[in-house]
Amino acid sequence: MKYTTGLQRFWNKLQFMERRSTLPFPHTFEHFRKLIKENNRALEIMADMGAKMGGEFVFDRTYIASSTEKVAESVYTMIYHLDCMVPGKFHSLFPVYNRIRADLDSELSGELVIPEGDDIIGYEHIDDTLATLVGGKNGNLGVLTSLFDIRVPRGFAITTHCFDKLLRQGENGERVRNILQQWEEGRPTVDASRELEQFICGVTLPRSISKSISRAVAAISSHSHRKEDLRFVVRSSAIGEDSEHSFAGQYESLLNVTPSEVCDAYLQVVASLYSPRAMEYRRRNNIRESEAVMAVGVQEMIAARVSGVVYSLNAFEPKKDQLLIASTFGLGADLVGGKQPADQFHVSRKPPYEIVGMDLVHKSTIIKRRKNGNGVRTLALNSRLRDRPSLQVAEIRKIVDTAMRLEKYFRHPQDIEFAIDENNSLVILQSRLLNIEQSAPTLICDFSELGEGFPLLLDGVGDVVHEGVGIGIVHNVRSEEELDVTPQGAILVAHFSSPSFARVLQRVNGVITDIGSPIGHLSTIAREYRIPMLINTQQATKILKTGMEITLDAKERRVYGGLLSELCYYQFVEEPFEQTYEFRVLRRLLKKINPLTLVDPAASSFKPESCKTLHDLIRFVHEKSVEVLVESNFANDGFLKTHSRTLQLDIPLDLTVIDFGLCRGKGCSGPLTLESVKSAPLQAFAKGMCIEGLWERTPVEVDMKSFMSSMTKTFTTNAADPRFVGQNLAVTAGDYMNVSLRLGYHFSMIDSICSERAMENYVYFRFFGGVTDPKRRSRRGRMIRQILIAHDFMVASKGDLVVGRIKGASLHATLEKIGILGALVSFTRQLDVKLVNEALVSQYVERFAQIKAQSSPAEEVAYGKQ
Amino acid sequence: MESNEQLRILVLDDEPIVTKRLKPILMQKGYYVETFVKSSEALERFRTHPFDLVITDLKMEGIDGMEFLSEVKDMKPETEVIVITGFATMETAKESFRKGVLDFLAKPFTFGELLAAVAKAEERRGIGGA
Repeated sequence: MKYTTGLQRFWNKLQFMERRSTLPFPHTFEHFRKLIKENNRALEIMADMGAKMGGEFVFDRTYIASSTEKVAESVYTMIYHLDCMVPGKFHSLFPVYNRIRADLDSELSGELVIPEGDDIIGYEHIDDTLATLVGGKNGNLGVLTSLFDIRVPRGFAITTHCFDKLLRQGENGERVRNILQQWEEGRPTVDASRELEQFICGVTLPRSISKSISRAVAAISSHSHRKEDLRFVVRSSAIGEDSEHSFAGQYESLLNVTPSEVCDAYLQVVASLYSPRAMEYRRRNNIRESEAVMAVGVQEMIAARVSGVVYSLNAFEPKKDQLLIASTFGLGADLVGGKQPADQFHVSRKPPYEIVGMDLVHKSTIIKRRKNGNGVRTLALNSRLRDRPSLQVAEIRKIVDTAMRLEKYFRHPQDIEFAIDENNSLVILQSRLLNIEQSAPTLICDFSELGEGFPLLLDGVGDVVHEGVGIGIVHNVRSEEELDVTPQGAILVAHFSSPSFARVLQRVNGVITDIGSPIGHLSTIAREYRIPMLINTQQATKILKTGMEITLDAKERRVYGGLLSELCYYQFVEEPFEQTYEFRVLRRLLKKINPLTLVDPAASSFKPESCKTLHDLIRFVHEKSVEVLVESNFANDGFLKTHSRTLQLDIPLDLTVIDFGLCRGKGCSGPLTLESVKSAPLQAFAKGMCIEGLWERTPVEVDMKSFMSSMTKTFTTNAADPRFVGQNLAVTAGDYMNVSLRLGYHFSMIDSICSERAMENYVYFRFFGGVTDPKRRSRRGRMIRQILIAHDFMVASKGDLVVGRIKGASLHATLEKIGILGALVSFTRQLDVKLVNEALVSQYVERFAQIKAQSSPAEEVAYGKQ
Repeated sequence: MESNEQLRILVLDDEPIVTKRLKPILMQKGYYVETFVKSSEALERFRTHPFDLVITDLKMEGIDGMEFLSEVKDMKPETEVIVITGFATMETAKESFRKGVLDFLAKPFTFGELLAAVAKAEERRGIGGA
């Protein structure tokens, strides 16, 4: 912090030390308890917001604004309580919070705020949440880049932030505004336009910008095999909702630009923002000049052997249910306008997508780029090629697969520009929503008749994870092997929604499971990839068998026998909900709220300044608060000295218990037996831990590699006074319990309220850290995750950080879950060392279930007594 | 589907996203649907056209939802009303039910919840073979 001068820092430290030593434990604990409450509340709302992305819910801006507000307030309250626990120590959390909060507020305001950002962003770092920074076209290409197995030209966006700096700020900005003002006061458009264009083309780019551009150009060049021959396409990428169509063709688009000329080309494209036509257009449509900003895309120019366009639905003859491909040799500069003759290929939209017809034309010319200098030229086509089809069958297949995938992803028929490069690989140049408005009426039959003649296999069962229609052939998955052979365009049907399905999700048309969690990992990915997904159908695997042709309508929670393509058309008529303003805003907000980038508390980057999202802040504050509690000074704190007792257990675990209920006011000492524990959740937990056969008594041999990584780990995490490290602490107060354990080298925390009022009940479990290498740790993470999921926990995990939550369960059920956590903690104490291969994960999951099952009857009785 | 058998639904919410998403889903179910984002316009339309069911938000500019549904019930008491609101409190819920509202949904709600409420309205009207 700037204001924290050396003197002040010293003063703060002094104050902090003083206050820390005087803060009584009950005070610290009270803040901790409130902090945990906010922690739970924030995660609850975040999960709720995430679930809204599936499309099944109707929500409005009020919801978006109030949920965002609530999460942010909870996070602020957490920071406040942490600050009360250790005054001043984490003061830098406040400015970090304020920065994230300001970002969220500016998203919510809905105005065209040019976000802070880089001047240049590579396509690989772009997604559609960056649209106001990079423009629609670049945003779209960025999204395509992220899709697996789809090649798009390498490229980068020159952002609106760069534009803002260059032409809206400083002297340049003043100059532009002056000319515009003259124009608004009556200066002829042509005149003002000429001066503006000349001025902009003559601007000298600041070094920071030109350097960034040349660096980005060099990066592309280093990846390209066409070194000297490398050329670029430089074109505008418009900002705003409908600008894509209305501005189409108004701005400059430059082909075949040499690397050294990219900067000039950028200025030339930007200058076209002030072409007479564009200026008149804005005047006519009441678009204020202050809203006129431009992002530019710079892409590697593909040396196209063949160019073409594919409509994933032939909108001219929609009844035929076909894709339409038009292609020609060379560049397709005039293809889109229809000025170039092109071959046409007609392909069935039903899997396996048969080619049903071709119309070949005589092609006498070819467009090629100029070898020297800019631009393109038209030449005579080699006579041998003139009557040959421009695409081979294998190429058509690839194009069709890609087009259907993109249609599925964008949930609307697509109008796609493509090229086949000199290495015969398919490159997607652009994919946009196909305008099917005119053909919509002929596409749509009466909805009530839809589905007639198609048996209804499932009706109204299950929970919608992501809505939408998917047609395809059933593929049952019961094992990893079956998962690996999932065919393109299949509907994946499984008993359980396993996170491992994520790796084939891109190629399926839908997912149906018997059971699953709507906020689990797979659900999040399904929403991200926009795959129709229905879970908790109970019976899907009994009815839907490999090879069956089915249609999944996730929105209606129905599955039909047969391929009902009309249903797809029906959903095309609506605007895909992902395109609505509210969804886009929610997605942008969630990006600043939900991702967890801060994982490893042992890393040097684990500090307030590294927090990028609200989730990061939550994680950081939570981690630190637990640390404060566990590392409380038991030797010197008067309260702790008199109120803490050691719990006697059948297992060699040193657990300190502070029971606010048991010894209110007066101190009590001596060891505590399990029977005299008053807290029901602590009893359940301790009994779970002591289940026979769980606590590994034989010492586990730690191999050298594991040992070394454990050494580094313990040294970095346990920098505090060694006397108090490893304190296992349970704090209980009435129906509340908080347990922090350091077993082996990992750390777990259980926080719970367990009362007769089911609505208030919750269990929060967090597991982190451990001996051994990251691979084994993440195996253990996966194992814990599987066990938690099997016991109805809602689970979020990253690496070996696993968080499981249950809320609103009855007293009996909540105690049972706490017992399971006790057992789990015992069971996993040293397991990470043993998890030497992947297969062991499921073996251990099974073994846990067995031990648990054997011990259950006795436990039932124990709970009955509570 | 004969139009005189169709349940006629008026949807009023000042946030366009709500009407935009409700309309297609209700139409798919074979209902006749008109949507409004301004309560004055909705009221104007209701005066001259009969609707069997009104789905309305509560908190709106101008004539608010409570006032709107009171007017609707005064004019045509047999009209069923479903309230959808982002500010669900016990008080507003109680007041709504006192005014004869059929169902009260807190936003955000799922399509399933809404359709169940609409089906209830349909049943009450005796449309659909009852």
